[in-house]
Amino acid sequence: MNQPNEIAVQVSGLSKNYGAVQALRGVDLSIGAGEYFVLLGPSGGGKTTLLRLLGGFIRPSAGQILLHGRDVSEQPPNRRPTSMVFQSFALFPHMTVAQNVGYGLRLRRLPKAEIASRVDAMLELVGLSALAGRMPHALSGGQQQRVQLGRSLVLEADILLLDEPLAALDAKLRKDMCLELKHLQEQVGITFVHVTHNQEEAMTVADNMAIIANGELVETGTAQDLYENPRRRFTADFIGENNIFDGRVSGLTSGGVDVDLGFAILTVDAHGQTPRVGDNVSVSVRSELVRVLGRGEAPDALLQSVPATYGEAVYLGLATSHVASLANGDAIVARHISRGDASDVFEAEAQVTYAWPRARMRLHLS
Amino acid sequence: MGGSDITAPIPAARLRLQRRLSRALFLLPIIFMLVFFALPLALTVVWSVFERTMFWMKPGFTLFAYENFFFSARLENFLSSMMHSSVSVVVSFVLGFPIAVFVRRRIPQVAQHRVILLFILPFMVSEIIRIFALRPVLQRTGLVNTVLLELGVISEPITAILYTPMGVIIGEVMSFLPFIVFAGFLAMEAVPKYIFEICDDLGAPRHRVFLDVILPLAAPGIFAGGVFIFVNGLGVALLPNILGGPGAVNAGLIATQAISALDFPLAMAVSAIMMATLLGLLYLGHRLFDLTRILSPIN
Repeated sequence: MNQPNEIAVQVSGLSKNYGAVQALRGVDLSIGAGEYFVLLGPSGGGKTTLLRLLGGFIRPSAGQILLHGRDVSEQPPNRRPTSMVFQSFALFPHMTVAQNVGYGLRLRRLPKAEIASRVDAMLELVGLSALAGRMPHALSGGQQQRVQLGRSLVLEADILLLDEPLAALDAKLRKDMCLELKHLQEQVGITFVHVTHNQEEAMTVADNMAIIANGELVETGTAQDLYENPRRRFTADFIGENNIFDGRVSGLTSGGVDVDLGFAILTVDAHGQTPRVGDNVSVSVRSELVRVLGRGEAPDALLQSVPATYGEAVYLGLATSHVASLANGDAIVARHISRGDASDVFEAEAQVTYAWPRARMRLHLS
Repeated sequence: MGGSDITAPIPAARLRLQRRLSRALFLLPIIFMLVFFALPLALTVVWSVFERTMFWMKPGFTLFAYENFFFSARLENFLSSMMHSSVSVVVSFVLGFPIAVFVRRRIPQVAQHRVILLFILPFMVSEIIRIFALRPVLQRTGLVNTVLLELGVISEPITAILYTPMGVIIGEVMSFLPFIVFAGFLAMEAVPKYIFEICDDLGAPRHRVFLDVILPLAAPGIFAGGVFIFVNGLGVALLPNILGGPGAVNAGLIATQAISALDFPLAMAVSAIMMATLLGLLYLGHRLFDLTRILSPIN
């Protein structure tokens, strides 16, 4: 129903100030129609502010919001092609499930029969048909959020905004609901914009996502892009579990960029970036790619290795984290799949070698 | 005790004593309510069927006092004072509830209670003075009439606003408006803030938000405030005494007059009827709105 190239949300130079506090600074962002888009970031980073700006609950201090090509920057919520699912269990406490879902349609003065049939269809879609007559206080958290989804979707808005919709649910339920949300979005085919601070939730549902922190848009991309090839140091620090080394560019060679950490020099592929000698940069590598080499095991040419003093092992079930300290005192972590045998045991204070594939290192200029 | 170790076990006897004492503490309010509320209430009913004597009454059973009430102008006065009280409730609601909603919605959270506190200020002045002060405002040569005459809005003074039911209603609204503001303010606690965002999102116009959402959620609190005003309108003798006239006598004044005439059983009968009216109203309200909800705002 949507053109593949159609843009649902186009935001440019969007800022929001609360007095002297800049909640959002010059954000440019575009979201394709029919996409499941996630705004991910730490609490207080400005992602909810961005969502509420899209929904029209607050007015921008500067910048422009186009929804399906129409400038809605100064429009109230009900004049926008959006509908909102709120964080907490925001339902009308004095209305039944069916009345909650149907209230928006009642406001539009649709005929009673049409309201009833659309509410029925919606309850079917969100799996609440059996609970149509229940009051909100008699529902579980997950059911209440489904009612909210129904209330928003029944209006057939083009863009659904979800403000931390799963934050109040327990971990197991959140996982299930994540997949359900994803499938629901595929079924209805409209654009979902979902705010969360939970990485796993974001990666489960997102077609594309944006990292938002300190009022700025840090980086956008698919979950896989951001996990495997983050451009910014912040992204590497925020997503997954990365070892990050701060250093200075000491030379540019055909093999890549030499980054001097003080105790070792790493040679990293620039990935199209153009650092200059003397720049302060960072290098990151995912901890699951790092290995602690066994005694007598020598690193081959494809591996980057550094000496370290072994600290401790942290058993996490699937993986075991081996924590050691580098010559400059920084920690380095290697995550091995737990083997549960002697080959994975190291002595504290032992001098060990940590190694990882050279090609998997990433250079961050900022 | 001074140097006793904190880990030393407390003797079992002392624990038992403590438990018994704390249980006794809960009994205190019950005893208070029995002695100062239930007992006088029961006595009111008992004394209303006693026989009247010259200066007091003597034990017996007669419904003479009730007969005296129901088959005289008193019943008519009682019913019309119920009417006037109802009007006061409606006027107070129309004037007062929007104030409560305004304070909740538009005043910053930290300042809300201070604003509400302003409505307590009039209560620092004695009720008699407050009500009496209305006379020079409402009377024939009072402030309202003088201003309207001078402005040429009216050609002769309005006499319908003092020593009439209208005067009593004005006085009741003046005196009891703060109660609907308080009750409304508390009732709005049952209306969560997010409700207004949902309504914005759905595009609900203001009157629909009010009718569909605020009113049903705040109903128990509004009802409680309304009952309070209604009952006071029936019972406070001072208002019709100072502002009312021959056609504006309420139950409180009927009882007061009966006491002046040393007809104690009649005074008790009027009080008992008033009490029954109140209990009936509360029962009705409870059936309609579940008044316990006032004490447990929905989260």
